Amino acid sequence: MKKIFLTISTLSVPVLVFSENLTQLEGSFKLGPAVILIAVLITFVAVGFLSRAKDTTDYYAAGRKISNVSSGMAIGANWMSAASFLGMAGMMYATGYNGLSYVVGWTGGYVLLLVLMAGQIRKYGKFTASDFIGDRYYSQGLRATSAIFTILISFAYCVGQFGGVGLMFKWILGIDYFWSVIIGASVVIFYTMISGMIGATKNMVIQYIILIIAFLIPTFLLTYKFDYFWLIPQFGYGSVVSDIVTGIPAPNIANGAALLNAYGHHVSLVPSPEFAMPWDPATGATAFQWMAICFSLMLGTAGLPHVLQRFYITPTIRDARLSCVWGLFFICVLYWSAPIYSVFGKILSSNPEVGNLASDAIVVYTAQLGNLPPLIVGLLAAGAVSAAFSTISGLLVAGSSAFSHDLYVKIINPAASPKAQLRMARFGTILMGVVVGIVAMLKLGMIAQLVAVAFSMAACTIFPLFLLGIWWSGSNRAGGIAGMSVGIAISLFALLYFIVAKSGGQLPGQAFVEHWLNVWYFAWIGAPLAILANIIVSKLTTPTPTEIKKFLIEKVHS
Amino acid sequence: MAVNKITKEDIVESTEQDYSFNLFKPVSRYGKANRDLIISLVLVWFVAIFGFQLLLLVLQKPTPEKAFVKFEAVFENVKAGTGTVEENQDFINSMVSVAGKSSVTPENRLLIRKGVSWGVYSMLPDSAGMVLSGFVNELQATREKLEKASDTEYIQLQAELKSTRASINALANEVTGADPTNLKESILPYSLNAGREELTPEEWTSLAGVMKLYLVHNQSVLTDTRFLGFPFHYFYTSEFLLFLFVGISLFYSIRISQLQKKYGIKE
Repeated sequence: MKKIFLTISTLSVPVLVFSENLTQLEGSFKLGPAVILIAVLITFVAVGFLSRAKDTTDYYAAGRKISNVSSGMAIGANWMSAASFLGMAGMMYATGYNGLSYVVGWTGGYVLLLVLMAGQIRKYGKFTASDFIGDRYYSQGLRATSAIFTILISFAYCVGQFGGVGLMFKWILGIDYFWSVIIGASVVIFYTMISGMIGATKNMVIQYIILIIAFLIPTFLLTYKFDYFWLIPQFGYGSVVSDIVTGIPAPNIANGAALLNAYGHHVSLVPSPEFAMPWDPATGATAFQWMAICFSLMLGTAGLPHVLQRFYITPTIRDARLSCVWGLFFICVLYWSAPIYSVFGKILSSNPEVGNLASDAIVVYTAQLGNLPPLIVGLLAAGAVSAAFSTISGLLVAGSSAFSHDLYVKIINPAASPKAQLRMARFGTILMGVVVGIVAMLKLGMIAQLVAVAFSMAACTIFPLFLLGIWWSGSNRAGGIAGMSVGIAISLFALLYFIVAKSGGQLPGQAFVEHWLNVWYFAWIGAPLAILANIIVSKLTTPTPTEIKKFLIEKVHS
Repeated sequence: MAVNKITKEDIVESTEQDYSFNLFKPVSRYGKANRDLIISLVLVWFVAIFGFQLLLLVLQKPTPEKAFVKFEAVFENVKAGTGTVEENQDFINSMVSVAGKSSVTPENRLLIRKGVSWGVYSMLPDSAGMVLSGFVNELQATREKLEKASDTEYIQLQAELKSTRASINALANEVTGADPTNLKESILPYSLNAGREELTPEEWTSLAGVMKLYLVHNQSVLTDTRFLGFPFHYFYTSEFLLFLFVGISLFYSIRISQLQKKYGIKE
């Protein structure tokens, strides 16, 4: 660990020498941020290489020797993706109060995860989500289907992350989005493939530290510079929200000087209550949508394979619970701070001459418009890449584990040697990384929205199986298949309408489906229906075998 | 991992042949305590999140901004062409207030621009209108160049923009009555087209709708009360709920350990 921090410090020194003035938000090569980014990437690859997986237990579950604080940090880093680091502030910048549904949804789900699942999952003692489902529902078909959906969910989630990586590489290197995605994807695939979960977990601890420092420093500087309460910026920004509602007149004087953005524009704003008022008509969002997004994200959180998988790596069940609490706390540190970027982004970009800003990059633009030192802005961009990488690596491990462990070993070739399993896991990582990279180039939506699709899919398919599988012994194979089928049908239905709309087409009832079964939040109804189907069919079919019930009651709930 | 065997007195409803259970019908005293804890915490969690949003929904009232009150007061007169100078100024300035909002969609922004341009050019003499039109064209051309500029060109073009904007304001402020130091000074030049176009009856109707859309908001005592500088509802959702989630999680972890100790459960 010490070696790693030393490497980071050493590689960061040249940045101070090469600091430059940033005159444009986009378009030019930024040397300081580029050096920081390269230093961070070299560190990731080095850590991944030094702690590479030696066997399958290392690859899938980090040898089950990660402490609860480290595991909490890993949960935090694994969770805090480009969607959290970039997308959430972007959503709030673009849609104001509506964006808070993402903040609440992505944190509130951890309460469900903890009280309903974390300890029980660890007690069950499996490697992957599909493993649990296959064993609990004594069905190879469900094992295979959940493995395929694990891959799909990880895939949808990954697309948003690759989009974030592309945006940041584009901003730093001043190169095309296409090449930015290719470079970023190559690095993250390389090190995840070599290290597997153990490297990824160790990297995640470092990634959390880098990304939280990178995220917090500018919040202190922005609140201090623009004369708000800066000692606790997470509270200090409340006055900025109120100022946005009432408007900020020009010139905006503080300590005898006008407050200006990096371009010399007054930091002022016309009254904009739509930013803070709930489901304001101007944003086009409704109360139903706010609650549907929130609910879907919460259920999705408790059903995401790469999140569930993190509870398999703790030494004890108590550690699984504590790591969940730590993880939530570490996540909240960032989530308390994300709105700061959206509110400062709002007041610093209000002048029409700033032009239209890409919401997904508002975190970095805000730091730039606030005229923060290039070193700090560069660190912020490196933090964003760090956030995306930590999540991508977890997703690639979850996806490749589903591919190699659940599909290849458990179904296709049970006699596969450990070496062959590891080879398949690495092949799965490359394959998934490459395909995700290609899809990310299509720019299908905002980062947070793309990630929300993964959550809805997880909430409709994996969550009901875990919830009922753990808490109701009567849920049997037929019920599981029925619930999974309903969840898949609703997911595919919503996705179909989304894809058709994106390609300019129109299906019957398009407006109705886009409102009530929107691809970002269809789980609000999909998950309850999947649970209902599972219960009804389970009641009507052959009961769960006694040995499964016995295992549940004696091993999982005792 | 040490597994605690279930004792006879722990088993309430299950038999040795039937190991059925569910969350709501646990089979041991520990299970019942666990159930009560889970249900209580999930209820607190659910009500805290969705109960508050429902309360916001119940209490909300459409509340207009000052700009909308002014706009409504002068709209009919201005539309009929009988507005006084002050009424025309209020009409223009209220639309500029909307033009300064970043949430306006491109389609609605076009309509607002058309309305602002109609108002400003209508109040200017033709000769001044021609000059203004030239400046607006120049401003738009410079802005387009800015998007593809190199670093050095960028600074030069920014200076050009500032100069052109000042020329536009010098002309337009005479009729809009805007304070040159006011924020709207930077918004107005970008809210103008290079000439006056009449609005169709449908566009007048749409304009009133668009103004209402952006200037009337869902407010209530929960949004108007300030707490630690925040609008209260914003503080509750963005700060308090997250504290509550961490608190619930911590409480659960501690309590479940206590329950396990109490009932002799070893993990």
